[in-house]
Amino acid sequence: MIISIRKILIFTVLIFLLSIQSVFAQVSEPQNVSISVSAQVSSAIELFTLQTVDFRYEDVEFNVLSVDPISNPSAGKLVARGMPDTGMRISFIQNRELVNVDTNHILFFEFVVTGNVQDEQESAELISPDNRDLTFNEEGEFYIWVGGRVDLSTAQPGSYDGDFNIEIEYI
Amino acid sequence: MLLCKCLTKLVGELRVTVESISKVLLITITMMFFVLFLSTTAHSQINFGSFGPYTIQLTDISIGDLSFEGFIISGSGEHIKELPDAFIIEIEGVKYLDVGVLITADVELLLDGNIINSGDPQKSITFTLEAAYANKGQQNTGDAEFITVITNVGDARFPILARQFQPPGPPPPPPTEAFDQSAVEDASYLYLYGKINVGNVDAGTYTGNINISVQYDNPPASP
Repeated sequence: MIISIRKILIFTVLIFLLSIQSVFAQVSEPQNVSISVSAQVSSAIELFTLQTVDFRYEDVEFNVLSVDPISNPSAGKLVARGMPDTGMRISFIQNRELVNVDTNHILFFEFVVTGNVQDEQESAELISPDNRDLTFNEEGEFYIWVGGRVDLSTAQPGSYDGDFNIEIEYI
Repeated sequence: MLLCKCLTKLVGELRVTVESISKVLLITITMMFFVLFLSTTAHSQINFGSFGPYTIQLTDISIGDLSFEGFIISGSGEHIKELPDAFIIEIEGVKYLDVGVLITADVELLLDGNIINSGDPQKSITFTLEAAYANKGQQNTGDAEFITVITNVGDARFPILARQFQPPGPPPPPPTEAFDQSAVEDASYLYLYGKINVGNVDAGTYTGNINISVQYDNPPASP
């Protein structure tokens, strides 16, 4: 059988071209870089009421009901929990209305608030209505005591209702 | 007589065939020699089909990493980093040439970067990558062209320096000992940004990675 020289030559050239393909595919090596993506997530601030304000008859003097948040054990107590050693801001409305549920008579209550990084009422410091200079302790806690005063000279018999609103946020 | 003629013809054909096969073998051996020769000495030749020693340099323009800053509270949902605040990488190379860019990023950031937390809804937050490039010769997000990114994988091919409505320039000079790449260099810019979605996760540092691979011509193959 005679093999066509032309076919063999074509076949050989094809083999040659395929083998040199790898020679001309030597492009530059890719340059690689890796960068990091990050986010610092903080836990949400939680506020727990440990004790409500207990207004007692013995706290009335000259028709003024007064609860000292530093010395009176009847003061309300809350604890805020968040990121340890993180700055936060406390704000509240200092003067609120108390409304008689039967007569709609209004009394004005002035809230007095103190706070401490330790669970010590006596060493707590007064907090202004918009205090931006506070920090959670290393356990992520901050203690708050709530007292106040109200003039009862015009009070009517019955129950008075009102709200105390306090906001805490990271800064 | 007839048999002698057939035999003569057959011998003649065999002779031609043997001679032909010898020629083919000689040609084949010669070509194999050239293949081996080129394989071992390509670096000393000028190959117009190859990019030779042209280099690409990647430089972080931004400091640090791609960080979602500010107070991010657990359960706060989406936080977005827009293009003007993107992490910027400079790609420096031969201005006439195209570069192919491949970008791959983790689809989630993990608490403390620990792979064990992958898929844990309390210890991972989703990350959606966005990317763009600018090749007008200066770093300007206003010149950015968006790169399509699907499932945090995207690629693009573009010239280091856009031709800006001009015809293509002359082909780059082949690399020789007299070639100075710095004389034909310019830079394009890669912008990386995106968003995270923060569910009710544990507090802490969440991290992930973005890998960028750049070469001349087409983008590298996706892994």
